[in-house]
Amino acid sequence: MPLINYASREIQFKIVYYGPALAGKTANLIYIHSRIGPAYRGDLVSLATSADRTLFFDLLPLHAEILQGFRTKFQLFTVPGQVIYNSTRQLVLRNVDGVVFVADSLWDKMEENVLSFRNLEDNLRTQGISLDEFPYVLEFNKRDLQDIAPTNYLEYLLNDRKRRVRRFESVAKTGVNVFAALDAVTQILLRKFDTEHRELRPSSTGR
Amino acid sequence: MGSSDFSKSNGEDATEAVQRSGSTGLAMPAVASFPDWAVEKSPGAPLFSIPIGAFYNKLPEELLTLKKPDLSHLIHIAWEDVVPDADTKEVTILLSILSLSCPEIFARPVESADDVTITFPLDQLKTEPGQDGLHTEITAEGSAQPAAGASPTQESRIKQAATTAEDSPKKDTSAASDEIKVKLAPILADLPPEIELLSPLTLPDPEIEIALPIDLVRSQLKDGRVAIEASLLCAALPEVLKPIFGKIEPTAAISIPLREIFRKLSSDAIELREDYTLGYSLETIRTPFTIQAEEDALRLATVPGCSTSPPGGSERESAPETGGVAAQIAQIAPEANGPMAAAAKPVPLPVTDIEFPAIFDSHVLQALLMTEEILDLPKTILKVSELPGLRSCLLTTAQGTKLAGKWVEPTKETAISPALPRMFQQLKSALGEARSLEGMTLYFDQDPLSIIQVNELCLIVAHDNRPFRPGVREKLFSVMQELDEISHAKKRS
Repeated sequence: MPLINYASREIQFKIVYYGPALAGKTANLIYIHSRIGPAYRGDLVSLATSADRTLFFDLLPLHAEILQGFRTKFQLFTVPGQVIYNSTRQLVLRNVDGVVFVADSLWDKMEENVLSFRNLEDNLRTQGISLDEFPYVLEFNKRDLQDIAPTNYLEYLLNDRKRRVRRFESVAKTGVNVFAALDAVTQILLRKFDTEHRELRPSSTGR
Repeated sequence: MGSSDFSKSNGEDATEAVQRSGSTGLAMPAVASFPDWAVEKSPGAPLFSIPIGAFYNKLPEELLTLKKPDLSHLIHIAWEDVVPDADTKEVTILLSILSLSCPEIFARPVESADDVTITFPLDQLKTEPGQDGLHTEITAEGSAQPAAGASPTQESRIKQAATTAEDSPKKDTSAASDEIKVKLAPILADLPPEIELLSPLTLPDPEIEIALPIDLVRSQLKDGRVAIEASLLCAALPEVLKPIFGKIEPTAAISIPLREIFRKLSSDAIELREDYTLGYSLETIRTPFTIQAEEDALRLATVPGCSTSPPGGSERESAPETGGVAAQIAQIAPEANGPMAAAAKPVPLPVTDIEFPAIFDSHVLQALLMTEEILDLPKTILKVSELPGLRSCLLTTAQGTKLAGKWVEPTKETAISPALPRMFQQLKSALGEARSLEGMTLYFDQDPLSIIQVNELCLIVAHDNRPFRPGVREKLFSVMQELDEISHAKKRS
């Protein structure tokens, strides 16, 4: 659920970049951060502990007042991909609104992709969220490398579900389709929010 | 796997069992023994279990559904309906009996006129004869398989290929074979460190392949990893290499590199399910990040999205209503990151809701274009491009979605079609209310091209090496206004 702060007049969406270790989640965040003007973003914060690291930053893509005087804000997080850091991932996933699952296209990473994806599903389930109803998109990253699996196999592994989501072939380090994936998940979030918060529409508020 | 004596199965004599199946009209079989797995001892009558793959290829094609079934699926048939033959090591079952056991694979019920006997071998692909006559592994295509880690009997299903790559087929065709051949060298190169070899490993031929059961491989593809027990690998090794693996732990998991598997795997091995729904809307809305996505697509020459093709008739998310929250956010999205770079590469086009009737009932257009032909959109745009001084033209939406026409240089069409209308929009936005912008002309080298916009329609025209000839610009505006009116009339209807 997006956070609606009536006091600060702010609606906040939380998007988490999920995936196996070294798949390119942080590269996604760094690229996005670099492409957003300083006026519209917060600092890229690294929450490093002795054991793991979580990156996040706030995105304030718009300062204009909308939604009956509300501002929108996007919080982008990564999670540590290593298997042992599941408690951190669970923590980061709290109150998440949408996920960009960053899969590693390298042949050798197929099993890690599957395990990470199952881990995402499990962790969402502990919050009472079904992945089949949750906003997410897939990024098949590192498409510029040589030793990579065909996308139909990645699709078979990660998207062969009753509900098929959008997937993007990306190269996070250069930015290929990084914003496309973010745009896609944001579209789903906005539609969902629009459906669930009809009271904020101008027509119903008299705006 | 132990054997099961057919004649003693469940204390019932096989001859009696077959005699009871007199309705089949088949010859009396000799007594034979059957594999354990094939005998399901139910409290009632004993059952014969067989994977569909064992007989599927024997079935009349005209009776089958188009969709290939799961060949590993076991079906169960009463013993009394099974006629075994110990001499030929075959079993015979009536087609009608099979159809009752697995009706889902048949397109229609098997009628008496269709009924034939289906005979198929049980040991056709066995590699190592069992110690008890017929007791071998049934290796017909689709026989039931566990996932990773095979049972000891699966060992017998692995055959050493003892062939080189030149001898092997380029792709596995599972319909014809129940095994897949993969190169041995990459498997051995990837052996886990805990595997102890008795001597340094040297392959006599780097192209040597081993054969693995296709079902064993397929059943694990979904996990992103394929592994077999070391004992299976050893069984498949060339004789010359087997001594080196003498101390290997039989249950150790040996990974089979996926890239090697996919070199030989048929494409239907990873078919995606067809009964899916789309988890997103086909109708795009602009978000605070759309600008960057489009800009990256242009700059990096990629297609933002690369998403799965939407299936026809699948579920769609509901589009946001006009004036909804999403639309409001989208309205200010362009402010997110300042002015964007101009673009010259193709980008995917948004879905448009602009519609035209199949045939125009417009005397205005006919008069403007000086024709008595019945016009439609393509004809109209073709006529426009034939106006004096014009070489070609494209009709697009204000967002750049092509509606009709073709560019004089087709290779540039995909770049011009989306880029120019957007550039026009940006310029128009920048000018705001100060000046009304209805068209503009750009020069590329010596070639001028113009863009004219009327509401949601854009017309891009390539000139014949000079500005508009007298009256043509006005005519174009008139045509565009008429097209706009036709489109709105269609929408209203």
